[in-house]
Amino acid sequence: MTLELALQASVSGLLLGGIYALIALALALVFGVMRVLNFAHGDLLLIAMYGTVLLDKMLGLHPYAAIVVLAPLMGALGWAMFVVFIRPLLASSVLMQAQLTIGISFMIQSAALMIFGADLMNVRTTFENSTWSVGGIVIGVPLLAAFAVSVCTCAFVGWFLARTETGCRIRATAQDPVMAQLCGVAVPRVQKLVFAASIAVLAIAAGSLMTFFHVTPHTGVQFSILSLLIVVLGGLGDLKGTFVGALLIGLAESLAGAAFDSALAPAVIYILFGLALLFRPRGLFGRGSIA
Amino acid sequence: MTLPGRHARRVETALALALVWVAAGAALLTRNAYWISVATTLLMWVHLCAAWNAVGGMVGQISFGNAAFFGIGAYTSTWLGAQFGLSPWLGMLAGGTLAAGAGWCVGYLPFRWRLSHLVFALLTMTLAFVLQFSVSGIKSLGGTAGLFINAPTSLGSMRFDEPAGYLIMIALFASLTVLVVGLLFQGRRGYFWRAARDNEDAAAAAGIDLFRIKQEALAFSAFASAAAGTFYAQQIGYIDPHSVLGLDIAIQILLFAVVGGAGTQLGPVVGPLLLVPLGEALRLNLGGSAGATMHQFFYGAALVAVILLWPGGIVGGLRKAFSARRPAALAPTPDPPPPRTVAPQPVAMAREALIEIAGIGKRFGGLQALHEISFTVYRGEILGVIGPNGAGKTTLFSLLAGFQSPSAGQISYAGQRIDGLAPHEVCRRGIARTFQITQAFPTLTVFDTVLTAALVRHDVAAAQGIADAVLARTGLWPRRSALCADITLAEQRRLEIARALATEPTVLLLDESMAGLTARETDEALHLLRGLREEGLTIVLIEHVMRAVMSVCDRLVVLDAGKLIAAGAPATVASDPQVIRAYLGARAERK
Repeated sequence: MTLELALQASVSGLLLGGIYALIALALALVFGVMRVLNFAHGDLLLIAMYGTVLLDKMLGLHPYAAIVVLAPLMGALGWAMFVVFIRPLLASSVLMQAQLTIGISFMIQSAALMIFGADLMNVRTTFENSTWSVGGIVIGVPLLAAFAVSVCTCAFVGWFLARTETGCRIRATAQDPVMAQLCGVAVPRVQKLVFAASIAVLAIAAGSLMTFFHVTPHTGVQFSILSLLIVVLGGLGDLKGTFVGALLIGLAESLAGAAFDSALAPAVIYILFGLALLFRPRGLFGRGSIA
Repeated sequence: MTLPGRHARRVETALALALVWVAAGAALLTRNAYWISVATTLLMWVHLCAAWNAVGGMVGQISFGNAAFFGIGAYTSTWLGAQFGLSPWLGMLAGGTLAAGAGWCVGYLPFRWRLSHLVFALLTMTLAFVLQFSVSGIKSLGGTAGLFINAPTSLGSMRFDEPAGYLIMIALFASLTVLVVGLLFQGRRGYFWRAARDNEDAAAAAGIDLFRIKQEALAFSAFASAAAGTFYAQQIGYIDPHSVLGLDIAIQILLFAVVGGAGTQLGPVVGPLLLVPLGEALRLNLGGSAGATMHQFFYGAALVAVILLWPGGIVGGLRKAFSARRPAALAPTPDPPPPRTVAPQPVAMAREALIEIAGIGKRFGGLQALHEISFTVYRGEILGVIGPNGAGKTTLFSLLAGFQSPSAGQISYAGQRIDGLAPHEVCRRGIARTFQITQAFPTLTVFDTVLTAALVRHDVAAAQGIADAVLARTGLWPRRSALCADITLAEQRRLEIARALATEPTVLLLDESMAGLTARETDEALHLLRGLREEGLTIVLIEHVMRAVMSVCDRLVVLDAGKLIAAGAPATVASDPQVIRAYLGARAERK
């Protein structure tokens, strides 16, 4: 691997990692506030991605414009999913919830296959082929824009949690739901709100992704696994750890792909994940709840 | 003498076996190649689910990665066959052994360190992914293109001209797995499995070697899954990383087993038996691209519905419905067995040091929970450990019983060091503990709980005698067939003591065994403790009920903020000014 290739891979890896960060952040937030590990997270993203494709095909809507339409719809979907499936199992073990969400993932995936078929779909935009070249490194404009949108959204979420009253309630619920309840926080409402909002945020990730990425019914599982890796790596419930973990995973994935140039590249990421799970069970910064 | 519930477990094994052969027989009778192939697939899932159930259901360690073992079996036998012309039967043994080894490796750290179930589940998933991508990148294993098998048809090559051959073979495989799991489940190991699944702390306190039983179950599960992998490869004649190592396989195993009823013997048979034919029917009736995936949608929906409506799966739900209608099945026994001594050694006249605690400390990150604690427990005494909340009393017990290792100092028991030993090892040497927050096995009866602890050292007949005696002794005899989830707090506290007694200890560590009891219940408990001391048992107890402490203890040690501040006879300690300030004084002031 030449230095140039390594640099190129690092830059695109980090940019991709920024988008992963937004997706994983939504998962981490849900885990933090209700201790539910949602294995259907990527499949909900998948719904938003197909939604973006549909809006493009039917109304010619730009993926970024589609976010405005999709975000409230995804929020409503998250709301419904919470009420019907998640809430009854809030008191169960993480693995019970995992099995339930695996079932949901199965349903979404096969529904997508029935409706859209197995072919990959994408959205054409006017700037899809434009690139910037900085010192020999080529950066795709769509990727850069998606990175910017995702990181800004992450920053907004961070600001919201740190500075607003609702954010304070959410953090209180994440830290100690019983104490939060005793202090007058309506914990069930906070949980419902966070679940719906986290799913709504996936619309932003989907819109950004669809400017340069494609979608197949299998994409959902890939993103479910990917965001699971990131959240565990970052430390369950640790949002900063999740953000850094996402950048690292993006970087590692891209570098491994460049270095090995073979089908076994992804194995590297999983080996890293396994080691992190065993030796950093509280995540990169050791601040997450123990896995 | 038969054990309560053993008959039902035998019937369930027989029923599971019968279902396997009914399915196989029905398909054979149709003489239709299509239905025979559906039944073959179905029974392969039964086999895989039964193998998964050994570890995922019975021991309660959910694996997301049994596809890894399946794939190891498929690839090992296929590769050995292609390279060296090795018979798939030998290849199956090699693959099974390799898979069992892989299982042992993946389970080693999480089980040794007692990491959470989630870590184990995610690690198994990681194993499957690492193998899938690695094999995809290895040319000699065919990479993503996969491997073909071109052996001629014969029993020796596990390949048949007639599809019925495959069906009969997989029915035999599935029966064997169901039978082995069933026999293990009926015996002593079944009690240990259920105990480990229900409550790991209580199981360790009962002397069960959790690491070993989990590793055994995982290795067995891996071996059996790998055997199915070899079978699949020979049947289809082609394997690739996606079809034998993919996540879909692991998920489907889990899904069928959970829908049927994880942890039951019938569940892994019933799950595929209901879902696979229904899925096939959907596929046939819908046709086209919708039919090709509709069954997957249906499988997912079945899993969601079962978890929301019948958390124990179909078999668990049916069992609950049946037992609700049936009155308690235990035959009425006229009288409890005569009480008998649990520790028949005579009381030592001379002061013999039994446990020596020398300068132990325990640090949790920045918190020094215990600091330089030294004292001795003498044989045959009742020693009280008192101190305000947060003084480190329970931490001290955790160190004594092996649930945590001290950061400094050492603990010796009868002259041998015991710090750093695992809880079950400490328990087997003769120190048994109870828990302040009672730790029960929710799906076991009171009798089974005590029996499980007794089975660690004895065979079934002897253990049954001990369990009877302990139940009579602790006054739980009338409640022996109640589920642990259904008994009162006072009974739970007595069950804690009963579980500890059933391990035939020399020393009992009782952590607030009288907390929350009424005055009468406390008196009963005190009576029991005095009786046990007269039989020669040494007792160390943590207690807040001062009446109990003062009346029953020979000596007291007092902890405050992790330090030992006083030790001696109850009356002396009670008048110690430091103790009054730290402990009794705070109380007096509140009044």
